[in-house]
Amino acid sequence: MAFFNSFSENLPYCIFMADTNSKIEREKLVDELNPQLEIFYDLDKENLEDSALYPIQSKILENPDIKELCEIARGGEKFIIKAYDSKADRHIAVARPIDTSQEGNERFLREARITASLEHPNISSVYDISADSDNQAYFTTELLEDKSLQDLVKDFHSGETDYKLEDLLDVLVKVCDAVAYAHSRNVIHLDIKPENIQVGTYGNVLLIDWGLAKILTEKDDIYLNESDLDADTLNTMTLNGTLKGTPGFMAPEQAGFNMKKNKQTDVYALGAVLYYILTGKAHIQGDTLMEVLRNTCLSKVTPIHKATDKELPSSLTAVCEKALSFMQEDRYPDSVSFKAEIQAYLRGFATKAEEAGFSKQLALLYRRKPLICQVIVTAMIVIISGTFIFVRTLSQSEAKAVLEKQNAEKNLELFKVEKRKRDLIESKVDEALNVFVKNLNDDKLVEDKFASLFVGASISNSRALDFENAMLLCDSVLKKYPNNSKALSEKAYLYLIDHKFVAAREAFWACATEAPHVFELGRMSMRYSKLKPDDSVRMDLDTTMRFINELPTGRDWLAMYLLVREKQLSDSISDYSKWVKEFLFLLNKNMKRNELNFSFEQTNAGNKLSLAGSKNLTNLMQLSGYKFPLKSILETLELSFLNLSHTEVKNLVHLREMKLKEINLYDCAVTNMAQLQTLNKEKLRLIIIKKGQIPILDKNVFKGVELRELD
Amino acid sequence: MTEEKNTRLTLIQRAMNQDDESAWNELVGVYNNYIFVIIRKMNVPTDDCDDLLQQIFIKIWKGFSDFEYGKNRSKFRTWLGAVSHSVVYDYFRKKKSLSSKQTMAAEESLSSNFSSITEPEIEEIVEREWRIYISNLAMQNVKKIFSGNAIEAFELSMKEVPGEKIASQLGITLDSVYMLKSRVKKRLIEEIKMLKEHYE
Repeated sequence: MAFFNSFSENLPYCIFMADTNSKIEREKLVDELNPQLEIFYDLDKENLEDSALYPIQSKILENPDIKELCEIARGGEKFIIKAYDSKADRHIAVARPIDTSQEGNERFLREARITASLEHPNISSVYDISADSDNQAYFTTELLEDKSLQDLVKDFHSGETDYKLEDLLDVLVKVCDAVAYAHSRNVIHLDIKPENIQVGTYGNVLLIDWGLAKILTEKDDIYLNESDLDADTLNTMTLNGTLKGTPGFMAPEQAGFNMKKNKQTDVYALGAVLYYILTGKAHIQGDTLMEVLRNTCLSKVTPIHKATDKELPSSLTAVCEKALSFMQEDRYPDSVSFKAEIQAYLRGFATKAEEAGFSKQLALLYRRKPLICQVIVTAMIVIISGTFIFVRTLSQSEAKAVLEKQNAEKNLELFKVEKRKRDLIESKVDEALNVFVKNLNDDKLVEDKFASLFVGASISNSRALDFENAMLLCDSVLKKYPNNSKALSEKAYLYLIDHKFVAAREAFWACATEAPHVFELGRMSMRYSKLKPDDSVRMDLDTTMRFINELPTGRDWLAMYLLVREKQLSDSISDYSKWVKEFLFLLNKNMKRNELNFSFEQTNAGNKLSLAGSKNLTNLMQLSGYKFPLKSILETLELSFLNLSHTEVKNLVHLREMKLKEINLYDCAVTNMAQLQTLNKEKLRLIIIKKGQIPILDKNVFKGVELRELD
Repeated sequence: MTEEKNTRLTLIQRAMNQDDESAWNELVGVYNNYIFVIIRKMNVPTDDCDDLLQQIFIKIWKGFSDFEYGKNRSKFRTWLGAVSHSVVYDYFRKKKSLSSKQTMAAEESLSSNFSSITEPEIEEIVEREWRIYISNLAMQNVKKIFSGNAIEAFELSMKEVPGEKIASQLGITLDSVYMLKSRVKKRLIEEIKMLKEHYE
């Protein structure tokens, strides 16, 4: 240290270092020095391999190939290989023809092209069509999930799944979408079967295997478009002499019966798939292939109730039967109308089935605790029916109040009544629910069932055209269960009917994942909410008609609801009559605008409508299905006098609910007595016809009605 | 160090100017651990290291005026190695003469390691240890820059753990392992380069 000190005065202070702590650290440092790191000392970063730093770029540049991993499926014409696409870093499917002759290659590429030409979310997309260096054709598509509808249906019928019938029907609805799209592009699939319907874990549905697809060549069917498929080149190539289709799902015309294959051929297959969903079996049975084919040609469909022990909804079995009709013209005209039936069922089903479940629930409870059950049921009946009756009486007084709308005091009164009605229903619902939860608290589903019961009641109210009540019931459910998708979708419909697009959009959006069938309407609401952001304003007639024309197919009942709602809210029936006029054009598509003579008049004797001389006017019914409460759109005009002279109306059956006093049928298309007899005779005094218009006339049938024949 | 790069004064050049106290402090800060490593390699017991470190730094400080930096590729650390060697040599010699006869055997073994180290070997140790030291210093700095799995991925890969295993261990994809590893590597090389320019 002495040595050191002698120099210290000149030295910078800091070399006197290292307290105990840093000594330890220093020791540690020596021990921890990693000699391996030395290799980096001379490295230049420019020499670093970019491949690791930029893995995507390097993979695309270095390895443009698709690495085929293993075969996953084999069909009649091609086999599918699971492969890794290093460019996109994903697994894909590579399809290769089994028949590798030139002809086989060509046929295989035809399928690839047809599939590639169809761009739809429910049709698997073709990524690439190509050939190897040795001219072997292949195409790549997205890798499919390993579940087909066939698997799901099997699981469903063996009870090994959470899937419900509704879920399977949702799959079918999506398949219908794919088929409808393909049909719009003049392509028919001809091999629709559960095996060819792939269902992903997240509900994505794909219709696959377009190997038998045909391009329709009917001149009038071809929608001229430059992107249209080249029918001639692609059609000559289906393999001749082989069975095209899958026995048990193919239509008679595919099994050898001499009939042209067309869109109805696919509809038949859709019906077969529905049958399979409902029963878990194919609709045509047979021990041998030939027998199945023969039975197909003979249309020996196993009656659906014999195919399963399950209780099937009659509406769906009827759809099945119609779709599986032997004659093409007896089937649904297209997949869209088939789909509409399924959707109609899905919309109603939720409630019907749940209601059934609810009563079952009650039955079970009754067995366990009969006394409590009686109390509940009585309470329930009193509460619910009591409320309904009360509300119904209110509605009538409300109607009166509307007539005296100018009176401000009445308006206030109405408002109070409305509010009271709302409060009452809400409190009653709470009360009923509490009773239920208290007594059925060992079942978690009870609240859900309760909600369904109310939504069901709400839908019934809509069907009875009481939209206010329907809305109240929906609100009651949503107050308890804000996310109940059934209530949300019902409410969205009610908003649509009220032109409240902003609110409808929100409601559709909130239930879109649970109730996928409302998706299209959700998008429409979105569009119209931009067009008309103010929910308190109603659309004018022109806009409404545009809206109706844009409605997805199968939603005609919505158009009817819109019309009825307009009537309910309209101050003046002559204003409203203009809406009916527009609806007549919807009903009579062949009628040109200048061909309709429409004159509506309010008189003391009653409302008068003359359609006299309207050329091409044939149809006076309504747009929706037969269950709709109105039979004719004219019903809403509350007519006493109707003039149909010189029109082409020949069917009066739709007018049967109208309490007409006089009807003029002079020189219209009604030519038989039966038609006249369908008229409602309650107030009828006079029928006018042309002399000789009805050859066999029995005047005695109409007591108290004058049947006047004019020259 | 090439002539071009000398246009900017290096830390050593600045420290050679005996008035630049901060440069000297920095130099000591960086080099004292390095010299410590070297003299430990020369088998100096830990307890005596501080004394020797001080002696070495005094010699350097005094000798800077005679050191011709950068000429004939003579490196600062080569000179540093020579200085350290002579100090350590003196230390062992002194220790030997001071120690009693009965501990002779023990001392013998202590110094025998040292005396057997030849001049070229010293140079090799100095060079190698410097490279390791700077690389590790750089690694320490780099560690402060990266977050997440990057350093871990890098260190595992240095231990030659297979990429797939790293990926599964860290719960990331294989591509990510390679990318993280390469990023650390790139940064490390940059850092080493910077430290070299600054401290050599």
